Amino acid sequence: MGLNINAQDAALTAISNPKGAPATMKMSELKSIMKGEKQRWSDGTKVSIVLMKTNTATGEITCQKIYNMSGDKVKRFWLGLSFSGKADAPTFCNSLAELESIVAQTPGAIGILDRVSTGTGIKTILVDGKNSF
Amino acid sequence: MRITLKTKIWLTILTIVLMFSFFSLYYFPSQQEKYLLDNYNNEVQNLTNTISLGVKIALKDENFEGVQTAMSFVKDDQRLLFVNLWVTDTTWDNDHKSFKVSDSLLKTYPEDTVNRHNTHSKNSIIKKRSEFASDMMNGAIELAVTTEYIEMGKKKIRTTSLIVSGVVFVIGILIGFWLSRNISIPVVALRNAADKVGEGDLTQRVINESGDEIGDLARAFNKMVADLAKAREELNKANINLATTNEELHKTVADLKAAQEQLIQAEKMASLGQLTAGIAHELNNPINFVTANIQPLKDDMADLIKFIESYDEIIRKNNLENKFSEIEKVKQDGNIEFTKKEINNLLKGIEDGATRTSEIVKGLKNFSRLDRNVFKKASINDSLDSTLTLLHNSFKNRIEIIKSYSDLPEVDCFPGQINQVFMNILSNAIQSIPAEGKIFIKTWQDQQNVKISIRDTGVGMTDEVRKKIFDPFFTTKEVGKGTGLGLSISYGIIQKHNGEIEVFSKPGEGTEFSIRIPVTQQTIN
Repeated sequence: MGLNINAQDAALTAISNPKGAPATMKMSELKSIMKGEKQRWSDGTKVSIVLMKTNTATGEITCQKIYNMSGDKVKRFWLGLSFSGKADAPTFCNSLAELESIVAQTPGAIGILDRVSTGTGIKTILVDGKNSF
Repeated sequence: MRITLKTKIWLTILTIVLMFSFFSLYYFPSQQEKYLLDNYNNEVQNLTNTISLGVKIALKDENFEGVQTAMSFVKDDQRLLFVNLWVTDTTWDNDHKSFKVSDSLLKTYPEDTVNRHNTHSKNSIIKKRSEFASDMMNGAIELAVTTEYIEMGKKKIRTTSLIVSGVVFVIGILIGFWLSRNISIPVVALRNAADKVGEGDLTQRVINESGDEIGDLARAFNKMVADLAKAREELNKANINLATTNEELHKTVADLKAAQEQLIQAEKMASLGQLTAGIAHELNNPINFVTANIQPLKDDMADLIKFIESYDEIIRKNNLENKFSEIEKVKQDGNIEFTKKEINNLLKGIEDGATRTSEIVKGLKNFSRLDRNVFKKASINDSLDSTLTLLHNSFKNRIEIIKSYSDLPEVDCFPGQINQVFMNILSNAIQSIPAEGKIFIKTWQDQQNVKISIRDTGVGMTDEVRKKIFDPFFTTKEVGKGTGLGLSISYGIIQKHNGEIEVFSKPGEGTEFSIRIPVTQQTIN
């Protein structure tokens, strides 16, 4: 699928379930969480990563900005990680609404959007003090 | 080499059983094992392909749990050893001119694969690989299953084959026994019965109530033997009848022959009788002349002699001897006295000869009387004397005939035939006395019968000969000297007169014939 969006220009927003994730974190901290390096939040809630599918525009931007990989490589990354038992694979969604819904319903969930979410049960995490990065 | 039916049956059964055993123990199991292995390989390959497809779909959907789910698709399969997910990577060199393809193991299911893998030898594992390609990566699913179940299946097939072969073998043996009992034994029984029938025992029967061809054969055999027995019985009856007929025919032929001989003999006797009667008749007249003239001749000669004597007396009384000296001289020379005596003697001799000749002629006439199937009154004593007269020359001077005749009534008979009987018996009696001897002839009346006994002092005969002397053609005489019909004919003649003839004899003590003839005959035979 060809994407016309310039990943460097597109802004992403980190959202989370109200329970588990902190309200702010650093970009490096976000990348570490997104690469499965942290399994539990500070309150003990299990980290659940929710991403847009890599073949979506948001997903592709996410792969570039967070993982600095292509979408397929992100999948192989997570495939290896999950099969090795080091982390649970992310939940890949087809739409932003689905992503928001899953984050809202899953305690400890953290997801990446291409806009600021206004949905209920979702909080926006400030990365490096910003809503978008 | 003779192979019996029983052996053939057993060879057939054994061949079938062995062929079946070969197929069931070797061929079918090997084929089934091959099919089983092929099916097993196909099944494992299909499972591998299914898992591979599931992984591919899950990867496309970025559903990593789905990948795991696909890999654990066969988790409940008891045969499962492990499922490997291989990732195929192409690595280019720095110049991007050449590359190498390498597989790296990404995931193995279940987790304890290593342990399970080690518990199996390479020969007990079937490993199938199914490659897939997706946007994310190229890889392959490798599924390994144990062949223990195949071995178990093979073992089960072999065990089943062995049991089936055993069952077939037992069934084959039972069928063999059954066939032997239902085919071989009845056939052998049939053969034995046929052998005995061939030896002549037609009471043989084969018991077989089966409705098959053997039973039909047994029934046909029994019917054949029964028919054969019936035919033989009829044949035996026919043979007996034939033998009886043959015997009767022989007897008839013998009777005919005897009758023919009797007829010939009777004809000869009749001819002889006619000839004798003719001769006797012709002789009778001249003899009568002689006999009738002898007495007048004697009287004439007596008168002549008386005349001569008277003439001599006159000469002597008148002393005329001198005057008749010449006559006296003739008398002296002629021996007149001797002549006179000789004349008397000659006349007596002539008379005796004439009397004797007359008796012979009378005997011939009596003996040659022609019988014309009519009983005639005849004297048995006269018949005996006539016969003795005719036989006189054969016994005179050596055999003394001692007669003891009673006064007998004349009997109804065929006189010529009765004479023939006496001729035969007396001839035999004379011939049985080699030198000198006696023949005792006795006649007497016993109620309504006349009995005659003729006993000789000849050589006699054995019992064996005695029993056969009345048989036609039996003779003890030299060839050409006897026909063997004399006593046989005599027996027939006495039978014809309703009488009896018996013979008593001992070797060296002579023979006695005893004859009984009824005085009167009721019918003319």
